Amino acid sequence: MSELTERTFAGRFDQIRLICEFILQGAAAAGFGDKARFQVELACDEACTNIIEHAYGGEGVGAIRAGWRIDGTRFVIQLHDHGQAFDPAAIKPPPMAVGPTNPDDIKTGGLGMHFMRTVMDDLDYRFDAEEGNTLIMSKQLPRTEESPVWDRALAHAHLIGAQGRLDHENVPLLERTLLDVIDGGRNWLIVDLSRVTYINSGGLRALVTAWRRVRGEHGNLVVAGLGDKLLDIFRMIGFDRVFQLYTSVEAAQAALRREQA
Amino acid sequence: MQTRRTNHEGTPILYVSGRVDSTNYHKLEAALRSINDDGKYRFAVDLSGIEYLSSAGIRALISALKSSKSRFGNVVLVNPSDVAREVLDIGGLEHVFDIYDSTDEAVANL
Repeated sequence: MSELTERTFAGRFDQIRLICEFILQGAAAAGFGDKARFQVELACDEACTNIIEHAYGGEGVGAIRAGWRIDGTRFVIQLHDHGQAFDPAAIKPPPMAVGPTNPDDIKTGGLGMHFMRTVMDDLDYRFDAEEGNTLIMSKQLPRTEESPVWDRALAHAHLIGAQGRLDHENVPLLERTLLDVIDGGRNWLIVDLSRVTYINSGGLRALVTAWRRVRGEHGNLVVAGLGDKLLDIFRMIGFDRVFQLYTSVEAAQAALRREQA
Repeated sequence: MQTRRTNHEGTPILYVSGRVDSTNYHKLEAALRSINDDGKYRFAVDLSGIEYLSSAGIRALISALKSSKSRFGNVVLVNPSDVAREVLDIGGLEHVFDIYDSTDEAVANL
């Protein structure tokens, strides 16, 4: 987990561009492409606009402390103010985001929050009487198959892959990825361990936890591509009776397709 | 942000370019209002030159649509840039505005 890089700005509209440029330095460090960087800028802009308009009720009332960090698989933005508290859950998406809408039914407000929710993966808000308001938004880092843990959608299943050693350094990433994938509503999972040379007990536990969750949702989690060494471990602790094991991702995919039919 | 007003077969076209955000959306509002002030309630807004657009700009467009519709007119959007298109998409603005690929098409349908 990287340190928070923070700076404080005046709560004025003309500062928003600077705040977002500061956040965008982090987005560039996180490896985001043009589209994702635009999305980060939009979320930052909307959040700061809301802070000035709603939390402070105007310009020049209070400061905005902006920060970013890279946390495992996520790029995290933190925006802090001392204005009025608000309840993001009370802010519903605007009607046109849901379906055909008569313009007269559109109220001002709520659109910025909807943009933030749409372009970022996660949004969290904390209010503290002393500390003030903290808005935390995060976005999944771009991942390639060179990352220690990665995931991508397949037909009929979602693939989670890993490479190298699944040890204390990389297991949190595996846990987080599995959680994110399942939270995203995907319950048919293939874990490809063909490029994994070692897995510790925490990694095995993460797999069982994820397996339990998807079973609870009437899905399944299967394991593909175990090498001899990992297969021995799986057999020794009886995991070959918990997980369906397949020699390849393709074989696992075919099996899950049959299971869903 | 810059705005430029032209005419296409008698229909006003407002060309908006650059960045539209909370610092300058009121300039967009004013440009849109001035079209209504000239007694024109059917017009197109060309978004091909948009480099950045936030909800502040969307609100200005919606407010122009409301005031024009209240006078039995319409405001349509033309040829949004990639960035404008993405913002329109995530806001569900296709549920509110007619969006056309060309000025000819927009004017023909106004």
